[in-house]
Amino acid sequence: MRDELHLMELVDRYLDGSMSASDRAAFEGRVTASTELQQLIEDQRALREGAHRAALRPAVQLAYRDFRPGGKWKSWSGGAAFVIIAAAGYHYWPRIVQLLPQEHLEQVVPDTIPDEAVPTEQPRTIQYHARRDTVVDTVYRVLRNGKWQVMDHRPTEAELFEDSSRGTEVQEEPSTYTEGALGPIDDRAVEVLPEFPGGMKALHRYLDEHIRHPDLSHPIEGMVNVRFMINERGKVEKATVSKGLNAAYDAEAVRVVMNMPAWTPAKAGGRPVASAMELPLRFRNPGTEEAPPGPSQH
Amino acid sequence: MNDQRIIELIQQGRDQEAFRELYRHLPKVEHLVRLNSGRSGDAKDIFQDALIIFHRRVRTEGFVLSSSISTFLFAVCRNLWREELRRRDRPMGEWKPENEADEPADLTSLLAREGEYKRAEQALKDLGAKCLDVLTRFYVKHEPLQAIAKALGFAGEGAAKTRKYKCLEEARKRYRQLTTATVATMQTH
Repeated sequence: MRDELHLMELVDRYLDGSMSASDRAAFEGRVTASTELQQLIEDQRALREGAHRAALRPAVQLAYRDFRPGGKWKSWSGGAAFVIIAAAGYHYWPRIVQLLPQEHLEQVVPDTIPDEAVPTEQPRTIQYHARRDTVVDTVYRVLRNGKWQVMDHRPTEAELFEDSSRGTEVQEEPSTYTEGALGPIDDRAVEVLPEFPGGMKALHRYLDEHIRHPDLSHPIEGMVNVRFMINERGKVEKATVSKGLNAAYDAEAVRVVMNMPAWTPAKAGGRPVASAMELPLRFRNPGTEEAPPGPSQH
Repeated sequence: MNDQRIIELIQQGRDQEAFRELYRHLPKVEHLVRLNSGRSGDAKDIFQDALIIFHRRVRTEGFVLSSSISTFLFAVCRNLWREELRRRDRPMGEWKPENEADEPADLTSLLAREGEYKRAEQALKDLGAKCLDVLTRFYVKHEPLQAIAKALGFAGEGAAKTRKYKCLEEARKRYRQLTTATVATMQTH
C-alpha cells in the first residue's frame, strides 16, 4: 500500500504542476512507458475534477432557491407573441382558495401531429393541460384563426384541424376578448416571468382573503378564467374573462384580479416588459362536495 | 449585470452570486427542452451542469470569453439535451440549431471530458458523505491534512492521509465500474 499511496501523491503533484523540472522529466519518462500509469493519471484527474463538481453543487442549489424562492414557478416562454400562464384552479370552499401546484402544470405538445402535416394556412395549435394529483381540472385551449377557444375535452385530431366556421363542440370565446384587447406585447423571449410580490404563497393568501362567493344563497360551481396584462411597471391591466360562469361570478373574478397589488414585471433582454397571464379561478359549491354544478343563477 | 462582472464574481469565488445572475438564462433552456419532449425539471438539471461547466471554463488558466455567456450556456445545454435524448433512445423531434456557428469550437471535446468528470462526481457521491468531505477539503479547498484531521476527528495527519488514499482508491474503483458500464451501453446502441 505504501507504494501505491506514494504513487498517488506523485500523480497529485504532477497534476498540481508542483514538481521540479527534473522530477517532472523523470516522472514523464515513467508515464510514457506505462499505460497503467497513464490510466491512473487520467482517473485521478477526473476524480479531482469530480470533487470540484460536487463541491459546487450547494452554491448551484442555493442560487436556484434565490432565483425561484417559491421553487414553484415552472414556466414556458419564448418567442411566442404572448405568454399564457395557466396558474391554477381555485377551490372555493366557503372562502378557502387553493392553488394548484405549478409543477403539475404541463404544456401538452401534440405528439401525434407532426408539424409538417400542418398546412401553412392552418392556425397554430397550443394546448395546455392542468392537473392535480389525479385529474381535477382539465383545460384545453386552442388558438384558432387568432382566437383562443376553450374546450372541455382533449381535442381530437379532426377537431384541431377543423375549419372553425363549421359547428363543433368547441365553445367560442366570449366576444369581449380579442387578442388586440391585450394591447401590444413584446414578442422577444420573456426571460424572467412576472412575479406576484411575495411569490405564489402570497398570491394564494391574497386571493384567499379577497375572493367572495357573489351569491351564497345560490352558489354555483365552475371556473372563471381571467386573462390580464402585467405592464412593464408591474401594474395589472385589462383583465377580461376568457371563460366565464355568469355575470356576477365573472365580475367578482375580474374585481379580485384587478385589485391585486403590482407584480414584479416580466423581463426580456434585461428590461421589464409587458406580459399576458391567465388565472383560472374555480368556484366550488360551498356545501356539497359531490354536487354537480348548479344551474346558472341570474 | 454584464458578463464581465459575472466572470469577476466567479474569479473572486463568489459562486452563488454569479449563479444567481446566470439563472436568468434558464427560462430559454426550459423552453428548448419543453419543445423537445422534456420537462422543466430536466431543463434545470442540464442547466445546472452547464453552470458547472462554465465555472470550470472560467477557472481555467488563460480563459477568454469568446462568445456571450448566454450563447455558451445555451450551446452547452442544447448539446447536453441532445445527448440525454439519445440516451433515452427518443427521437429528437424538431431541432433548430439556431446559431451552430456560435458554438465554441472545442465544445465536443469539452463535453466528452465533462462526461467523465460527471461520472467521477457520481463515483465520489456513491462513496458517501465522509469520503467526499475528505476529498473536497483536500482537492478543492486545499486544506492541509493536519486541519482535515482536526475537523473530521482523525487521529492525526497520517490517519487523514491514509483515509484520503483509501477514499481515492475506492472512488477510482467505482469510477472504473461506471465508465465500463457507460461504454457497454454505448456499444449496444
